[in-house]
Amino acid sequence: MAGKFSDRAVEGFFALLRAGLGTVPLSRGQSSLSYRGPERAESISPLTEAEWQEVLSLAAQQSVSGIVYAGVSALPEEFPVPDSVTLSLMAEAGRIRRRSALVSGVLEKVLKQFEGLSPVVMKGPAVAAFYPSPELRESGDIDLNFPDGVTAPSAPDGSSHLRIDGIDIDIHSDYFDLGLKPKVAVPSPEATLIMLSAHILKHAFSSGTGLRQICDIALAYKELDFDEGILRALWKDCGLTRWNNLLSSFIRRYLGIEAPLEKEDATTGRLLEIVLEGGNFGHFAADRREALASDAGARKADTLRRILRKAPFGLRYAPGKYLWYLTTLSKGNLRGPSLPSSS
Amino acid sequence: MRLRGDCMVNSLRGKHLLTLGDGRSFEVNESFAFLWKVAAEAGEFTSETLAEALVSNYEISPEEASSEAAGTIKLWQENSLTEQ
Repeated sequence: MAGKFSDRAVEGFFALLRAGLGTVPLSRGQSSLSYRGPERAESISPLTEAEWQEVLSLAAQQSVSGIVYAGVSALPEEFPVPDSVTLSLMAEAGRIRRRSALVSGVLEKVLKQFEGLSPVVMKGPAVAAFYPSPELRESGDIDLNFPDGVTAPSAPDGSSHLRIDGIDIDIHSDYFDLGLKPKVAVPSPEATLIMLSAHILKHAFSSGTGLRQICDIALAYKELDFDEGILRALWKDCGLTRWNNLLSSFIRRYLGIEAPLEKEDATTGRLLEIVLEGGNFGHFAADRREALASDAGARKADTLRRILRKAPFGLRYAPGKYLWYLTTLSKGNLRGPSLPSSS
Repeated sequence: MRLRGDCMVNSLRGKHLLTLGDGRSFEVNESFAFLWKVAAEAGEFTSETLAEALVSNYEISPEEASSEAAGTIKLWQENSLTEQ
């Protein structure tokens, strides 16, 4: 079921992830892959040293080592954890916290630089605020969008990409991925949720998606004060109801968070396969790393191959958006511009 | 004085790890980790800041606390973990 990882390691990993997200406390016992309801403390069975190493690999591949660190800190004192695991997670937590502090500092500079233009911070630091310990969310780039009527400022070379103190800042002309134009104010809780959901879907269509992005939207559902009726209407208008039913069912089952849905989708295993296959942005899929190290042409060809391979998934859960994405990228490849970045 | 901003101590299940700005890590003891936390929370600190925290949190005489605090600060300074 879990491919290269043992079932026990995957079960333990998800139990630690749920604990790290603050979903449910842990107690010693028989762990399970999925969350079985809010009425009981979750159990986790002791892992062997080898299984712990698998948990660490999973956490790194999914870019959630900081959350697993928080999960391990929530384990009962008597629960056995090898010293090597404790030390490794502390080192990871140190690295993640340092990076988070750096990104926060750069964001402060950038917001000052664009003061008056009211930039909207997308993803990254904006969603970190939803976490029980924001500094333990692994930080990537900074993504900004400017409200209607404001032209995105460009870097001196004319691009919409900046790099400050080693941190990449991407300025997006569109707030929503996949060409979505929902009738909703930006920023707003509903816009944030549509933006995060479409972003995950875009990556699920192509190189793959990881748990960090899914944790982001799960915690956004938990923390944001949104109107479920408006959100569902937006899903419908965007042709994303089936996708969001799957995503929310996945969040409920594996992360233990009450995400909104119209109808439970029992096929969450399909999304789990995609998540476990590739990890964060699909960078850990078997042959993706080779492609990422190659030239732009090879990367584009690899991405296009992956999108075609995802046809059964795309056509089942969001056919309109899948075909739009495939067509748009195919046209773009013929004309030559780069494929969307992994941000 | 202040702790260097790029160094930090992370704790987990009774173990403590000092991570330096260059990514190197060292396991440290509980007393080190406790005093680091006190200094980090204080921002600006002196030997007295640390000694007072030791007296308040551990069964330790003011003299022992002063000695422990001074020794720890010396260790930090020798390893360039503080800045003025």
